[in-house]
Amino acid sequence: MQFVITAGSELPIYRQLMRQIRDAIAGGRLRPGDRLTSQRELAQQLVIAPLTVKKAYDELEREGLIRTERGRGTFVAVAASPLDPTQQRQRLQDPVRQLLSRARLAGVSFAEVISLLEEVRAELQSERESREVPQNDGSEGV
Amino acid sequence: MTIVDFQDVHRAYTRDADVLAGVTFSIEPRQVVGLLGKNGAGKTTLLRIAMGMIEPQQGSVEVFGVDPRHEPMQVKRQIGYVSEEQILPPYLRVDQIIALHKGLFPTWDDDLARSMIERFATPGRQKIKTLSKGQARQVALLCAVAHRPGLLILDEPAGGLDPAARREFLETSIQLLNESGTTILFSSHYMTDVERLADRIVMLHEGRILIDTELDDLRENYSLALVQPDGRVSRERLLALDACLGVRERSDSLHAVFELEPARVEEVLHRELGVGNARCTRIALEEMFIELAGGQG
Amino acid sequence: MIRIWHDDAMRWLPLWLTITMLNTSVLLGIVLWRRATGSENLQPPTGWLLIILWSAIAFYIVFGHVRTRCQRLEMTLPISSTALWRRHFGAVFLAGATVLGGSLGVLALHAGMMSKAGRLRFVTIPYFSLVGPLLAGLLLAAALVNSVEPGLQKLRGRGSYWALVLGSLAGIALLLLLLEPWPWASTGICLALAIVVSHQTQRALPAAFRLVPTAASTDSADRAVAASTDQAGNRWQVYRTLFNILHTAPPWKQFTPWLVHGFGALMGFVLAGGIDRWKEAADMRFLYLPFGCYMLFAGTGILTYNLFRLDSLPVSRRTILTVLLLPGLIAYSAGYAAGWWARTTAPNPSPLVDFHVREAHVEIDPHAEDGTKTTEVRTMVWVEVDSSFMGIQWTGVPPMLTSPWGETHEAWHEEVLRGSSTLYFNPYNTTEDTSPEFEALMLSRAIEDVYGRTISPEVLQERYFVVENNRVVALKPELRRIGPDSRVVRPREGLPLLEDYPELQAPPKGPETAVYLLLVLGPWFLLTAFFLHFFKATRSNRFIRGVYWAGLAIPMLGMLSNVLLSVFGLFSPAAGRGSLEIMIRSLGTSPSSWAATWLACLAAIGASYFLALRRFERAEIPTSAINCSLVDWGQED
Repeated sequence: MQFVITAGSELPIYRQLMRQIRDAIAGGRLRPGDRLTSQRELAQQLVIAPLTVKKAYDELEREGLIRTERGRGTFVAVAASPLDPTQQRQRLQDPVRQLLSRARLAGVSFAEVISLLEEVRAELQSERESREVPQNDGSEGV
Repeated sequence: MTIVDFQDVHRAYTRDADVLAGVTFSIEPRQVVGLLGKNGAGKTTLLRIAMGMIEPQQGSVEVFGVDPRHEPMQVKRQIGYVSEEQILPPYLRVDQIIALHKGLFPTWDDDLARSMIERFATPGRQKIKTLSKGQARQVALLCAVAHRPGLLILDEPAGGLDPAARREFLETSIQLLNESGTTILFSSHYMTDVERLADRIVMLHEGRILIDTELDDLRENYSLALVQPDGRVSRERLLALDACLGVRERSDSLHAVFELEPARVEEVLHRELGVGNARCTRIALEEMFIELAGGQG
Repeated sequence: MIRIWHDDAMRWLPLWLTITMLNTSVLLGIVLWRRATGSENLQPPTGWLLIILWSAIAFYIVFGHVRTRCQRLEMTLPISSTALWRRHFGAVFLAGATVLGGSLGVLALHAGMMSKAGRLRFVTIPYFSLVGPLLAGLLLAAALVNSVEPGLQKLRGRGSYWALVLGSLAGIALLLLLLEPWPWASTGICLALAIVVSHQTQRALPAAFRLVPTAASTDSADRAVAASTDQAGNRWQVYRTLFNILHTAPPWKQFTPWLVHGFGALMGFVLAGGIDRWKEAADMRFLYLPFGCYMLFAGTGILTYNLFRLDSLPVSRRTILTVLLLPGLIAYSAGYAAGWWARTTAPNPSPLVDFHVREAHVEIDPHAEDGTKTTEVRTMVWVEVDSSFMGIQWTGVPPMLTSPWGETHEAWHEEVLRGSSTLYFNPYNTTEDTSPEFEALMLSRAIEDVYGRTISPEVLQERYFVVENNRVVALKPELRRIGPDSRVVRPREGLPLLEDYPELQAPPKGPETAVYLLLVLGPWFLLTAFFLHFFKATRSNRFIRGVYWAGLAIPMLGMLSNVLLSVFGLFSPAAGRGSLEIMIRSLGTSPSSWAATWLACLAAIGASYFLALRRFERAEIPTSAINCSLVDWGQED
């Protein structure tokens, strides 16, 4: 599982990592029960501070996406998130807020935002579907 | 135990200008602190005061709980120091330098040293002056790291190195973090390196600490506003705002750094100064440095 | 003392007692009885006795079981390490004293046997002047041996330990030998040093002894501190590397400090009076005092070049200062020792008392009416003594020499410094009108003051003077004699005192080494302190260099002013040197003042060293090299 970190981008590194892991889980590249690379190794691989990796993993764990078992490693959470729907919804507030204010500044109308949302949703759907069909040629996926 | 503790430290070299004018901060164990500032802002002075090489003229310094001027040996035994300047004696051989450090630091870890020698492919019997800059810096890093110091002080460690050598340096530092949880205090001009390594940023400007926050906090809660100067808005009025850290005048706009996230900045600008067309974005470390160090805060 | 008998040193005592007594007996036999076969004076020099007795003690210290401080069982008992250490120290001392007692008994036995043999002269053993120094030396040896690795239960028999043991034993032996005429001094010095050393060691004792040495402790508790036996062995390598780092320079420029050290050694040689062997250059010894300091300081400055390389390392400032100062000190001391040896083994040392006969042309009638000058050859005679036996008159009144029968004249004198009231004069001086009796009296007085031996003026006059017209005109020519094998027996001009009275012993010159060391090392350390004081980050490198040159200028100016003042007649270097030597000799009149001078000089040197050390500890070393020499080490060329 390869991640790419860009230092100097607007997004903090731990957020980049979180996003990529989240995307990977959402897109099926990481399946429930899969073992994630250990924090130390990931830090060494990506050449970032171990604390950064820890932060990302901790956040994701709080969101319920992954689960750390002592002595055994970190795994993608099997069940649905233990957090209740209202809290989950709350967590979406900020990204949504960001999205909408940026849209306004950029002069993108609300209707266009909705169509954009539907576009991206379709993309993710197709990605997930292509994951469920096993690939024999070892290609990276769509 | 706090690893490093500076309390209101002042230091000047000449009568007119204070290089450090009241610096107060402290470093807890396992933190990685990136020290930023323009050339001559006092970074090297600060690091040398932490080592006990220079005395603060006012204020107090404690490293590992003791004053490095009073207990230099105790402090230096637990610090690994790498600097951009070439300190290693050029006519000594690499193995002699390593043997010297081994003899001076009681906590020297032979296995770690050996593994680093292998990894760097350090030529043992060559004289320092025949090595490339990158190799010499590697030797210095090896000597600084192999005794598993409690504190690693790096003064522009990647200065003058090619990107591959810089990356090597980073990797070694991260390995050290992984294995020993060493506290690191380093100064650098390579912002990307700082972003990868540091979890806290301290920025020195005109002898004082301008910023002292966690790096991620900086990224998320600081923003850059690009404002058109007109009747309502001027540099002084922007600076007068509480959350404004610095303003830089460009030919056709004002660049202002705020200690708030972009959406809030927009609100404040709109509320206080009646500005509605400012562009507020999050700011990367390098840009922030340029805006703050270039402008007058 | 908790169960002193349990200490290993005491438990094995009977064995070592027997062995050392046998040893002593053999050695004494060789020394004493060999003399009995000849018709020599049987009295063995005290020095020999000292060495033989000391060798018994040394034998015990080296081979005896002095390394085990306590038993393993005792480590588990609630006994403090201080108590155990003291117990062991006491046991070693007691055992050593017993060994000494045994050997003294053997000595008494031998002396008794010799005197009982009847026809041999009774041999007197100066017990009191032997026992004191030996016991004090034993105490010091026990303290030194116990000071190593204060934390261990049993000292390891490593190279450094043996070096210390053998070195101290040899050193103490040397000390006792040198101070053999003054047993109180050697006893006092050994006692004082023993107290200092044992006090230091006690302070360094840990709460409990350990079986295995640990590496130097660090604060961090979660670091594993490994016991490594080769850690201490690396120390010499560390010192060597530190030395190398300080001398880091482009290869062909590395000679610079060595050149300076060479000059330092040369200065040591000159200031020890080594040149006296080849020419009468005694004044040089006085004039060049500032130059010795100059050379040493020059070397120190040059070596500060590479200090910045050591700043970030955990090397104590004291260690760095030692590596900075020691080479120059060693070079200077080596030169001094060589010069001292050259001077004392010179075949024809200048006599301490001499009688000069010179011919001079004297104007008889300067106010002749016809303006002609008539000169007559007159013989001038006078007694001359070594400058340390000349006199100093503080009041400025020309000193008068008076004979018991009322004859008086003014003594030869000169001002030390023009305009001052201090006069340097010859207390045995005579003029051309002095009567032969007075001349003889002066000579007799001189011999008495210098050698402590009374030879009556009549004997001297009869033996040496040629008298004409009631004036001494020459020394008796028969004094210049040809021996049986046609070789000139008394080739020298002047008074053959030492040949005629071979028992005349030259008196000790006093603690001149101490004073000369003080006059060179003291200013050196003070200049170093002055120089290091300006090592502050607020001072530019150029400023510091300027301080160095100023520091060099000070002794240079001292020397120049010496020379210039004497060239212009404002200062008499002979008088200056004489005054210094007079003072030195007066400091050596009694063993206690001699010892006190040594202690005072060492204390003063130590104080100035500590001043330099304090300055260095507070110094802020510049980040880049300070180039203090004319040869720039930074340039590769």
